[in-house]
Amino acid sequence: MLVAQSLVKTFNGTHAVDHVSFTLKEGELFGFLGPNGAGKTTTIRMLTGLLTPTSGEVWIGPHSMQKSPKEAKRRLGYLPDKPLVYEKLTGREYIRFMAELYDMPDDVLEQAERHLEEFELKDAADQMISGYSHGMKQKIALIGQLTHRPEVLLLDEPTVGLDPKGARTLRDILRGLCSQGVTILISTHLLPIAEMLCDRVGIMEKGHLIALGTLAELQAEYSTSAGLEDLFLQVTDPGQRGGEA
Amino acid sequence: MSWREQWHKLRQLRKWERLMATRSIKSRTVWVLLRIVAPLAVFAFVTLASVTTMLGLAGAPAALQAGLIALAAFAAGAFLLYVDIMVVFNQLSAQPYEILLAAPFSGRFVLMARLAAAVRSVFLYAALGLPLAIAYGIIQRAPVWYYPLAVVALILTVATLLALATLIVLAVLCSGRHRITRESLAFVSTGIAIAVVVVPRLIELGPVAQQVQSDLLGPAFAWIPMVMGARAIIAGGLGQGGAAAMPIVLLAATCALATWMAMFLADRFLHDRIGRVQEGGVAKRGSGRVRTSQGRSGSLLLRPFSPAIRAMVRKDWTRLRRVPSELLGFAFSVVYFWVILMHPDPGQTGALTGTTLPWLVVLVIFSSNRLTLSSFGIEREQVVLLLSAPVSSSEILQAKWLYTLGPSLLWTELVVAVFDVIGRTPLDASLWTALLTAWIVAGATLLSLPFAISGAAFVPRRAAQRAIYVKPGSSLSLLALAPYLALQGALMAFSMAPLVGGGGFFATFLVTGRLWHVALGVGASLLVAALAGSIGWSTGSEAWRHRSLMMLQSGSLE
Ligand SMILES: Nc1ncnc2c1ncn2[C@@H]1O[C@H](COP(=O)(O)OP(=O)(O)O)[C@@H](O)[C@H]1O
Ligand SMILES: [Mg+2]
Repeated sequence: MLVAQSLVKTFNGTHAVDHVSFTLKEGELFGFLGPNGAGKTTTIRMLTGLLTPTSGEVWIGPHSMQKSPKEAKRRLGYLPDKPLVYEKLTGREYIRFMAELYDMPDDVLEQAERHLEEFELKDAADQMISGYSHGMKQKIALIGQLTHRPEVLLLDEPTVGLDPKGARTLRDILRGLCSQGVTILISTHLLPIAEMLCDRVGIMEKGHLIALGTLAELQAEYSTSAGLEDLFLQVTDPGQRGGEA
Repeated sequence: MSWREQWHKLRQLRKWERLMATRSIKSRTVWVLLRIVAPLAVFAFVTLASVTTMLGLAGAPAALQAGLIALAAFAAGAFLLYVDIMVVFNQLSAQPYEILLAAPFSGRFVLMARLAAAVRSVFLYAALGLPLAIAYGIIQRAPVWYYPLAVVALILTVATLLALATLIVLAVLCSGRHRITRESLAFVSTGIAIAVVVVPRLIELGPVAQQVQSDLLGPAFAWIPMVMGARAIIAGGLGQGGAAAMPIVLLAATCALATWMAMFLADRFLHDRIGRVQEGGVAKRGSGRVRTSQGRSGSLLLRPFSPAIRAMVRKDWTRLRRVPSELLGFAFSVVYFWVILMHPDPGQTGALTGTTLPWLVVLVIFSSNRLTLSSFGIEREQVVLLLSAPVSSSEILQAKWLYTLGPSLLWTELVVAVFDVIGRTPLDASLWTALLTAWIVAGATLLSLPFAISGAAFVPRRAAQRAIYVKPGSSLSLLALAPYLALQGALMAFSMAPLVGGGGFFATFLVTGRLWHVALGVGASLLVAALAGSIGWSTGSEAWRHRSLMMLQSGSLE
């Protein structure tokens, strides 16, 4: 459903992302892990078409992001690390704007109402977003991204700023979406969430994708039975890494 | 901290502000355009309009010439007071004031630091009055000392207006106990500016004087600063030294008093009250459901455009309903236009309105620019949201254009219609005038696109704050806009002036039977609007795409 083909991004001569490739299947929930500055955000921006890769290509289903960006973007939902909302709109107006922007029929708004309820935003939905907390903005931005029924959803650190309950709701919603066939990529620091939620994980470091697979596969590869957190530390710490490039 | 230390700090602060301003402008050509060419074009246009009118009155009675000076001073002064109030208001409520408040500075220091940036641009307006004053001196064969006196009178008038504006804003800020939103502050300030324009008119409402001189130069207006300035210039031009000195002294005293009072208020209240300025805007409780798009406003204008464009325009209009203060420029210009129109024009020559109309044109461009500017302002980081959606930059631009076009068109057509009614313009002529107006407004709003994107437009405060990323190549075509600005103004004055005097551009044609009037008017407006359209469009879309890319590539979105 989503193919990243040998993506490279250079900023002023340094490689922020260096030949990153992976393929996500329909309905898969993929965890994108890595320390700060590893290149996760840069990769996700290339996947959304916001940044043009220095080389490499992105495919959303049958559409190339480089060759037919409109078709590709129509199938894509993107939640950046900083929630992007319009402060002077109310929550409901924002949702309606997102639906109209993608020219969706009115029945998507029914679904948005359900999400508002799940995230306990119903009371705040008619207040201006400028009064929202960071977590509330994050939630309303996510609901906005769901209105156009994306086939691929890219979430950049969505759990930052969410309260435990919100994080839980997010998990439930993401699971539900996956079972409907939506492909989800989620970048996160919170390893327990990734461990609990993701079918597969990829670990980035210094622009390279250094590990890719299910938890079991990675445990086998690094011959350890440790949880994701220990595995992550082991993989990203050069002192303990055995032999691989 | 001593007065001298504070003054030193103030100068340091200015240095940093200048540094940031130059950094934010990436292309030298744009810098040259915005700082030199555009002001020069405006200056040339105003000079041309005022000097030719004044020289044209060379043989007329002295009262008429004096009346022209008085009216021009009044019109320009009223406009300037309004601009000053807006600038002072913006400066005082600009965001990083916490830094100044947290440091051990007195209120008057904070006030001065904030105003320092505004002073220079405000004083440029004094230069706009100079050509008229000089032309007056020439036709009156004024003594040599008249010319320095005129300069002093102009500078004093501008300074007094700025001091008064500061006082007004501070008084609004410091009165009352409740929380103040930027919105309410803007409304009250504009209300006061409008009152200053209207009240003298109301005082004079008795039998309207036929002589201009007894109108504005009468005792009812003696207390208005710009009329004081005009009196000094008129008396000086006639060689009456004593009569010229009196208003100058009065002006200086008013200026000193207003400054002192502003300083006093700032010292006493500024720290307390400035923190109460809050972002305004209140949303009414909604229906409790996400409403669908049926029956939304502006459907007629938006129908030919794509759903994404419609969504973006409606989103911005919804926001505009929350911050109606952005429309205040239009409100002010209606009142302003009305006051000028109601002014008796003794010779029916159109000379008086001819002088003041340029100011109206500047006001129109000012208002619609402000609207476009803020509509791009909202998309700072949210541009990522739009760019990750299946929306092209051209669609974003179209949406922004339509957003400004809607209110601007509504306003202008309304004003034109009212004047058609007042002037009893025949129906067919009114229709033609309406069409022409729509055409001109469309061109003018298109034109505001590249200016808004490059971020400077004519709003001084913002010019320094928004980065300008226009490639040198495309900024060359921006240069081509400078003469357009003059042309646009001239055209509007050209087509509106007969409208004022005889009830419509085409009505003059109907009366005089001069077909070339119509041909010239239509031809020129078609040409200008097409030119503005294509230039605005190409530079606009290029600059916009470039800016968004620069923001992403340079990491300034982080
Ligand atoms: N616009 C940019 N210009 C220059 N360097 C950048 C830019 N964006 C990101 N980088 C660099 O690329 C690297 C990866 O950044 P990023 O993708 O944001 O990491 P992550 O999201 O994994 O924390 C960092 O070293 C960062 O400094
Ligand atoms: Mg990141």
